[in-house]
Formats: sequence, structure tokens, C-alpha cells
Amino acid sequence: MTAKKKVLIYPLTFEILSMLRSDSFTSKYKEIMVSTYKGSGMNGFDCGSLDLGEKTGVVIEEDYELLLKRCDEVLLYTNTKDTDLLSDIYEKKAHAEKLGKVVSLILSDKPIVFSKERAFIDSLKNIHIDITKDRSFDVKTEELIEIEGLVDITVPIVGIVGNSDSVGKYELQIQMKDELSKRGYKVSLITSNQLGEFVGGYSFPVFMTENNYSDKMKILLFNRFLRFIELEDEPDIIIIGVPGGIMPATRRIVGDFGMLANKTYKAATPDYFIVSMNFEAYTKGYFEELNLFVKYNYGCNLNAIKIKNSKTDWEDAEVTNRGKLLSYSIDPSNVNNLINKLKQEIDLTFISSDKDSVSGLIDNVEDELESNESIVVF
Amino acid sequence: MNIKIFECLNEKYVFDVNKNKIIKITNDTYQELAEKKNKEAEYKSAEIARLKSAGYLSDIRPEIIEHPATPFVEDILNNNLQKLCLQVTQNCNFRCKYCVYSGEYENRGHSNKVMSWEIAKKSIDFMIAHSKNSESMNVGFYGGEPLLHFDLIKKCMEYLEESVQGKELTYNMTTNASLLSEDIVEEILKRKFKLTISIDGPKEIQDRNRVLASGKGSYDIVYNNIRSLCEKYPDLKTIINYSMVFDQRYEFSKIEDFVINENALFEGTQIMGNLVNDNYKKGKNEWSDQFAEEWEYSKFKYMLFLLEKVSAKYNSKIMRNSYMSLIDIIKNTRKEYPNLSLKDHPSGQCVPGDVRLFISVDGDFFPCEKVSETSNVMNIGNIDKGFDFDKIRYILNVGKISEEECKNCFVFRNCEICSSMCDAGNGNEELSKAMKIVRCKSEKYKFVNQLKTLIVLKKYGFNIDKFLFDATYNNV
Repeated sequence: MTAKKKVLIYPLTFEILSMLRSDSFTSKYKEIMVSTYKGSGMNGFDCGSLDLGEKTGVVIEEDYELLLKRCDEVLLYTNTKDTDLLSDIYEKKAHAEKLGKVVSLILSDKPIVFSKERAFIDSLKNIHIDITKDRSFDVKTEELIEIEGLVDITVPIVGIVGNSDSVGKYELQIQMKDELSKRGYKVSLITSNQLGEFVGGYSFPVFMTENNYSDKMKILLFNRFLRFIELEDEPDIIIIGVPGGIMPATRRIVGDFGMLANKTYKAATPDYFIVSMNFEAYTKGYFEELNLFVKYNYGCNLNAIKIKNSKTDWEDAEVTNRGKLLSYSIDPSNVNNLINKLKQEIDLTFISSDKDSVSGLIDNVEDELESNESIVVF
Repeated sequence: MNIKIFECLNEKYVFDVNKNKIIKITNDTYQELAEKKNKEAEYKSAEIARLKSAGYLSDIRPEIIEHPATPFVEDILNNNLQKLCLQVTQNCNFRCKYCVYSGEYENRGHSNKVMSWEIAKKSIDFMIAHSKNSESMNVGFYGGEPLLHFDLIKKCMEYLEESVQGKELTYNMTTNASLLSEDIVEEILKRKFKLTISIDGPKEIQDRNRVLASGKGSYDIVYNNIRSLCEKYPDLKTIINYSMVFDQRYEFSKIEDFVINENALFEGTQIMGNLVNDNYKKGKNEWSDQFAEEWEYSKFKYMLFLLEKVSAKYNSKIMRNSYMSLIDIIKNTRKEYPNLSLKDHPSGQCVPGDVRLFISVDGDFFPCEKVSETSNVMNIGNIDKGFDFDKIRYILNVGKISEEECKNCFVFRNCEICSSMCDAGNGNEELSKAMKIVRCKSEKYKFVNQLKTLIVLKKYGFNIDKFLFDATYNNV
């Protein structure tokens, strides 16, 4: 058994914060250090101050060089497109490597094909068929897959999406995996970002966003990817998070119009479906319409809603028009109050980022899946 | 019903407040709606029944006037601060006659106070500490005349750039341009900087109000300075906007002619034109007949241009700006709105300190540079004690001072009244309901007028998409 290492993470993002709150990530390391951009307003504060939520026990130190000396490994993760910040990240990578540190660089704009996805792609070799001694031919896997269409995925699937980008999907994926594992389930997780491997799961497959395949082939490949996971992991449950949102946030901030989620869940219909969203003054009508949206887009019921203690900056979205949706953290009590009110009016499971709340969600998942289990499926 | 009925060009319309839509109706329907019957069953018109079944003409109105941001004021200002406006000096080398610091207004007078580096640094540190969720930071420099203290401005920018990484840093400054020099231009062109230059028109207009402390006109200094700097630094023009003040006592047409004739100066820039400010003014603004005639005629010509009845020669930069509020209303009629919430607030008020936090030379906080610095109610904190959240919530909910009027107001979604318009600017700790009611009256009048203009534009073929996206309308 190898000794646990000290890891330095740079910079702090909401995804990293979710990992810092997960035992399955933190237990892998002897010590976790976090540095972030100068002028973050969080120097010397616990990382949890980013979302005003639960403390992580890790204090932010803006002096990266100071921490670099003390660590064994470095995890650099960013979803920025800013060229200055990207060159800063590359410089940090080069410097850390020069000092002999093990460096993982994850850029969401340049996704890496991780070993598990590579193994899946490799498994799709062309097939050589011998009919007789003198008659044989090669069948291209893609052609074969097209002929075969979808294969059945029998392991229950939990689908997690966001009504827009950056609404706490990843946090929920990790929390659900941790809680289900604690209850004895074997969980396979496909995360909505490129950090899946860091929490014992799979990053969202790169082939889904590459131009090499048609939309039809992406759906079929994702379906085969699920079968691959089913056979490899023999899980009790598969959780699938999808990057981005399921609909345009505004007429100008359209994301991918929810196309990725559509393709993903065409590959296998979820048995339990959760939509994550920012805090808003939601009405009953909103959830009724969302329920129909889910039903007719993904062919499943909407089971649960996660509300993040974060509020969209609509002023910025409507006036400044940066082309992306920004939000700010709000006191978690606002979410709890809203959830208590919504629970009175709407027959859905509502949860916050709170761990107890997630535990209640898992109770509900168990109930739902148990009732599905009573149906005899071969 | 939460509606406003009105007539335009011999036709009848209803504006639905909840849906924010204008609906053309028959004379009979108009007549019935005008009678304001007590019970729904009393309405006989089939059109009313049809509109009601489609969700229009509802009675829904807020039961409580409360700004939706009220519970989040601390969260917004503690975590998402993005814009700072630093009053680097109260000193000015001009003595513009309509200036809010001229003594004609309930505001401070001219003074020689300057912001110390200590206050400036603390202000930037304050923004850093209160912006952990924001991805950008903007610092504005304001005066007096900010260029009198450019050393401090430069120091602020350098400090911010040293201290902050990973956020887009942008700057802006409003200046009279008399002190703009090559060194300063070179410094600002290194950055993402927007410059707003105050100029009122040709020499005779500019020199009438915008005078130096000596009383001498400022036109020659300002005009020649901008021209020569723009010639030497062509990029400078790309970051300049102009701010013009139209003095209603004098002529208007010469200003418009000036903009048309000085194409080299104004081409590709925006002009924000405003009438002499009446907020906090001790007396009333006077209007001359000549100004009113020329102003209205110019608006009329611009409308004809929008309707493509006259050539692009009448595409007035100044009038374009004055139509923008109407354009917003037109754009908004395309949006789908949920009904008003039971807890809601008229649209005009921003979260004080969020749009931009104005910090005076002494380190006092105000919602923006447009409010009176002698106002108690608008003083929302200071650099040592931080925000006064109770006061911020009070200002944010300006609609509460006229709660019943707001609940029943058809301008609810299109109101432009903010708390500064209800502030006497003196030592009062409260906003003035009387001032607000006066504002409400003119806001209602203005909105009905805008609705009618909108109908005229629609009826005679105005194409908003062309206006927004076609180069003919934009390249003025």
C-alpha cells in the first residue's frame, strides 16, 4: 500500500469545493492544500466561504509558491477561456514538474480521454467474421452498432441535470455517490465534468462532444459505454451527470440548447431523474411545466429538485451580456425556507446542498427503485 | 383589472400590466373596460371573455410592496461587488453653471478636498474582500475633475492590477478633457478603459455654461485637445463616449448641427444627452419656447427617419439616445412575463451599491454618483464601518413609501423612479412621499405617451430589428 500524499490544488472552483467536502476524495490524501488567484477575497478563509456553506477544514492560501514547496502532487483544474489565466496555469504546471511534483492538469476546454474511456474505445475494434474457410469479412464496429441500435441497460440509472450551467450538479453527484456507497451500494458515476476520475468515477466521455461522430452515433456509443460500465463495474446503480443545462437560460445565453442532455438520455432512460437549479422565487406552475419537459424530452418522470444556495445575477445576464450566466452565493437558510414552502405545495422531493437533505433524497431513491424492482425484468 | 386603457389614432388599446402587452380592442370592449365593473360576470363583451381565458386582463397585483432582492442584500454586497466609483477629488477646474455642485442644488459645493491614498487603497481592498463570486471588477474615477488627481488614479490601477488575478479589470472616467494629456492617454490606452467626455455643443453653447474657474469659456481648450489627441492616438476614439447637457433655456438645433458637422469628432462614438438635472435642484428648470419647439421638432424628424419617410440625413445620434427607453419598452413587449408576484416592487430601483458603489473623498458610501452627498438617507455606510444594510434595504424598497399607489400602478413593470428622485438631499433620514407622488404622476404621463408613440411606430412600419442590428441605424 502506497503512502498517502500531500496534494496542492489550484485554483479554487465550485467543483473543487465539492470534492473537498467528499470523503471519497479527501481520504485519498495525507494533506490537501488549496491556493487560488490573487485578490480572490478569500485569502486566509476556509474554502467553504466560496459558497457560504459547510466548512472544509482547508484554508485558502493565495501564495501558491509557498504551498508548492510543501506538496507532493499538484492538481490544476480550470474551466477558464482567458488566455492570461491559461498561460498562468501552464507556467505553474511547468514549474511544479521542474520541482519533481506529480502534476494533473485538467482543462475543461481541452478534455483528456481518461484510461477508462480509452479502454472502452479500444474495445470497439472491427470484427472479423469467418463464414467458411474461403469466405470471411471485416465488419466495422460503427456499422454493427448502427444495425444493432440500442442495447438494454438493466442497472438502474439516476440522471442529474441542471436547468442551466453551474447550478451544483457535480456537488450532488459526489454526495449521492458517497451516501449510496455508505449504504452498501456499488455505484458507478459518470460526472458532468472532467473530474470524474478524482472521485472514483468516470469523466463525461470526450466522444460525446467531439466532431468525429454523428449525433446518432454519439447516442449509440454512450449506450455502449453504459453497457461497458455495467460489465466492468457490475454496479448496483449508475449515476449520470450531464454538462451544461437542459434549456437556454435566456434568449442570448443559450448554452447548447440542452442538446447534450437529450443525446445522453436517449442512450438510456433514467429510472430516477433530478434537476438541479439556482434559487429563484419558483411557483408551482414552473415545476408542473418542468415535469412535462422532462417527460417529453427524456421519457421519464421528474423525481427530485435540488436547489443550490446561489442566485443568478439576472442584471448581469440582461444588461452586461457577457454571454454567460453568473451567480452569487446566498445564505443557505433562504433555500431551506423555500424548500419548506415548496414541499407544502408540490409532490416532488426537494433538496439543498446540505448532507442531511441528500440523505433524505437517497431514501427516496431507494423507495422508487425498490418499487421498480418488483417488476420482473429479464 | 390590472390594466390601462388608452386611445391612439382613433383606435382603442389596453395595456395589460401582468403580461406587459398592448392589445388592440374594439370600441365596445374599451367602453366596457372604461366602466370598471365590480363583478366579472357583468362584462358582456365576448372579446373580454376571450382575453381573460387567454390569461389577459387579470386582477393580479402585488399585495405587498417588497423588492425581490431584499432578502439577498447582504449576499449581493458581501460576495458580488463588481463596480466601484471613486471620487478622487472634489476639486474642479471648471465652474459649469448647471453643475450639481454649483450651489443651485441640495448637494455639496465645490471644494479642494482630494481622496487620500489610504482611503483609495482601503476602497480597493474593500471591493476585493466583497467580490469573491464576481468575475470582473470595474473602477470608475469621478470628481470634481478626476484628472486633477491622475497620480492617484494611476496608483489605484497599478495597485488593483498587482492585487487581483483571474478577474477582468475595467475602468472608466468622466472628464471635461481639458487636462487630458499624451501621457495620460498612453496610460489609459494600456488598459480596458472607457472615457466619457463632457462637451455640450459648439463654442457659443459650450462657453455659455461650461466655463473655467476664471469664468472664461472652455470650448477652445477642450475641442482642440480632443481633436489633436484623437489624431495622434486613433485608438482613443474607440474608447470615448460623449456626455452632453442640454440647457432647456436656450436653443437646441445648434447642438444637433454641431454633432452632424463634427463628424470627425463624433463618428463611431455614443452621445448620452441629458437635460439639465432637476433632481435635488433648489428651484425649477426653466424651458424656453425655442428649445421646446426645436427639441420636439427634432424628435419628430427622427421619428420620420425611423419610419423611413426621410433620408439617413436625419439619423440623429442625440435623438437615438432619447428613444432608447422606448426601444426597451418595445423589446420588453416581446418577452413572456409571469404574472406579478404577491410580493413585488416597481422596476426602477437598483440594489444600492450593487450597480456601482460610489465612495466619496472621505470614504462615505453612496448608491451612485448621481445622489446628493449631503443626503443622510443616501449615505449607505463608510469605508471603516462597512455597509449600513438597514438603510440599503430601506432605500431599495422606495415603493413602500407609496405602497398603495404602487400596487395599483400600471407603470409597475416600466417604472424608472429610483430613491434618489424621492430624496430631498438634506439631512432627512427618510425619503419623501410627496416628492415620489409628484414623480409618479409624470412617470404615468410619460409611459402613456410612450405607449402611444409605440403604436404610431408600429402602425407606420417601424422595424425594431433593423433599428437594433442594421448598420444604417447604428453608424451615426
